Amino acid sequence: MTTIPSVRPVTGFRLLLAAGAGAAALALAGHAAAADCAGAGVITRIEGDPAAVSIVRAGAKVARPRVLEVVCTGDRVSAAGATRITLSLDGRGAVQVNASTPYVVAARGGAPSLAGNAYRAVNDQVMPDMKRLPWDVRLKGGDTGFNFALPQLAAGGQELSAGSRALLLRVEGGAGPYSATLTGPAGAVAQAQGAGDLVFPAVNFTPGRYHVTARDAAGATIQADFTVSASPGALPTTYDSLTDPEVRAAATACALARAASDKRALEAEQLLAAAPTNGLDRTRVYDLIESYGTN
Amino acid sequence: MTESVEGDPDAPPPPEEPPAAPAKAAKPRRRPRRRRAKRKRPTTAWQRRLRRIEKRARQVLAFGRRTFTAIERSHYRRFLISFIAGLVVLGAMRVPAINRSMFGEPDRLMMETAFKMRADLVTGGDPALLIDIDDQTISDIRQTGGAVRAPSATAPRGVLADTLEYIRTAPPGVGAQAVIVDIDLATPTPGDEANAAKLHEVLAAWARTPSAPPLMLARQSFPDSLMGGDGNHLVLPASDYDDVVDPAPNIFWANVKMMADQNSIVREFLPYECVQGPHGPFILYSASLLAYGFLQGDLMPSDAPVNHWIKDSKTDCANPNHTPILHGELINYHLSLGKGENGKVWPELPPSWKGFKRCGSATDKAVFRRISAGDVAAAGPDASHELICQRLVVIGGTNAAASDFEQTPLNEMAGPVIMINAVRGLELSGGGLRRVPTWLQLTALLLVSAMITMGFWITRVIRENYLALKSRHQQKSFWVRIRLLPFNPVVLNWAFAFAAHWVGIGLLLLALDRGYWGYLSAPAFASAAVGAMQEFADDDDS
Repeated sequence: MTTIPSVRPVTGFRLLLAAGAGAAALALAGHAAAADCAGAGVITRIEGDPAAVSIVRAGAKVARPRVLEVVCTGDRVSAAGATRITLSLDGRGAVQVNASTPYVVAARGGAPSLAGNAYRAVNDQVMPDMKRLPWDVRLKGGDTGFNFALPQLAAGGQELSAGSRALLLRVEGGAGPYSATLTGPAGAVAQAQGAGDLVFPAVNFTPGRYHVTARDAAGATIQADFTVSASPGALPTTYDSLTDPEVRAAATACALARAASDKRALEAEQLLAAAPTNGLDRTRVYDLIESYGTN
Repeated sequence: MTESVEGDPDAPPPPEEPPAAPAKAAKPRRRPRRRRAKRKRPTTAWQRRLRRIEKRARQVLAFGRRTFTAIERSHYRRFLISFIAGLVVLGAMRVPAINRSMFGEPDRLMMETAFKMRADLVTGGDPALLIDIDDQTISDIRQTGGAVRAPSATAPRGVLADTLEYIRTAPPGVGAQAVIVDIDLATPTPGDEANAAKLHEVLAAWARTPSAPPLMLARQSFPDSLMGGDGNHLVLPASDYDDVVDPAPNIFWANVKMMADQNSIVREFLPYECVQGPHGPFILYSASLLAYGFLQGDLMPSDAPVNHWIKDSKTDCANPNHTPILHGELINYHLSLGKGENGKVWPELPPSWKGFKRCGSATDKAVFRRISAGDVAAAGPDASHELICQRLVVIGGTNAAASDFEQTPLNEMAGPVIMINAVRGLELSGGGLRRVPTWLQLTALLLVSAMITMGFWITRVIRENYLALKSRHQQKSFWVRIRLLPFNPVVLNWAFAFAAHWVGIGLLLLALDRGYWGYLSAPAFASAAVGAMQEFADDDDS
């Protein structure tokens, strides 16, 4: 027979159950009346210097107003300099206060009433709201289109040259942020995290088979394998004469990917990633590299 | 003795009768006066008192007899049959299978209307603060630039860590009374390892802080069929925080499951679950139930109806043939923060709230407040802790990514707001709604049956007059006949039924304020239906 061991919440709860109801009278007796501040809202944000915030309540300045403090009806809230205050007021929503627009907190209005509730209840019965609410019947965590941006990578035929270098891995779809783990012939090698492009910093690639696993924030996982080769093929030399190193790398990468997208597209992306930046819109070049072989 | 035979011709004619004396009104025979037994004159004081009481009782009886004889006999019959019909339905309503059937629907509708009527007007209980992981919070942490990606449905662990740290660092005595986190921390958050580690540290600090309030962390159990079992048991998977939570004296795992009816309207909460945890069998109590216990502290009523869940759970979970709970604890709805509602005005706490002693008279007086978790996380260590002083704090989400919204009797409501209704509802009703005592239900039914009978009598009188009026004004204009319309018996019957419905709602409002609920509508409907049937039957007879 299964037995339930002692459960901590019950232990605490049993003590509470043992307490007599008579103690209630003690707590309800002699409470101080509260009438000083008719609360009407809260300071939700102070952008800038909190010392520049001033609240005057019933003619006296409130000492050191802070964020998440309650403001009362009749309070005069002001800010100095570039400081901005956001108030969340009952019945009014968010109110912005800055140096040029001080704000006097008005009394709360629009409180619910029995008559109003009765009207709405009758209204609901006489003229029920027959609107339909859209309801997503998807299976949570299903396919969100999370994939490697380089589709050829999933096929497992990509080759990379050996040596110490950073590795760029581009992913698309899913829910960011993303993370990835790189495993080499000798086990786990490196990890990378990021909002979009994942970069494994300075990995010493030795010849052999490598495995990469990427995850999105919703837990979806994609995997790929590629080979590091000691003797990769030569790079195209057509664009060596270009003086701008970033443009030269981009052109060479595109030529490489176009010539052998099934094997060298990953290498092409690394070529561009390693080039010094000089204002080129690399995203478009990457998109071009990734489009070869898919059309 | 000679006998004369009628029709015999030989018989001598009968002697002529003397002329009758002029007719004289026959004097009614006086009833012989009943000779009263001579009574002894009362001699002692108690005899005189007894004689007076006897005399008064005789007068009352005579008055009653005169009154009753003034009413037609058929009204007694009608009243009696209506009352018995209501009584039968009332008795049937005590059978759970019947009151959950279509016969209980009128009462559920009446309760729904009563909930709507008192929404946002109830001021008792401890105030609650919802720290809301809203759309703004999700938007604040999203990466800017690049393509618009789908938001993550998991709550950001970094924001949760900052929020819990804000609550934990409140000065002793003016912190929260209890905290519920309506986020399942066991859900993996790949790519957010740094914030998960930060949350781990915050929870460890919470466990070490004696002044930190009790913290209930939501957990979701799964059927063991997901882990290769037969699907007959619930499993609580291991989480990355087990090493901190399990030994902590002030952090508890809890379930946050609500129970909806066949129309998907959440009406009850699940009080406990028997689950298989990483270290063996475990009772996963409801966060609402635990929070209520911690809010009450020493003031916990010993006769609170929810106490039975705590007692039952041990024997129930120890039973190897345990069956899941199908009906939980009724939620006493009274706060109505709907989807997308902001800037609502909430009622103020009564001056008798015990928290004013500790928090001061300048503290926030709203019984409920919602604040964005993004604002709390961004507030920093210098933020005021006034908002959480002696409150029930619930950290949950109304964001569109998680889409944690359910239908309730009030409106479409976020999960954490339902939980606040559940906890505060227990406080307002002294530990759970009780059924109205039978004698009170019987009395109410008696009155309702009498009202229904009287209503039918009035409508009958009006109907007779209406028919006379109608025939008198037959040649009159259309507008004259329109003016007669309110006296139409059909319209009048509808008006009576409507009035009876709202009288019932009024009674239910009074009952709910005292922590009671009862079935009156269905028995009243039965009485009225039987009354109407008798009315038609009597019309057919006449």
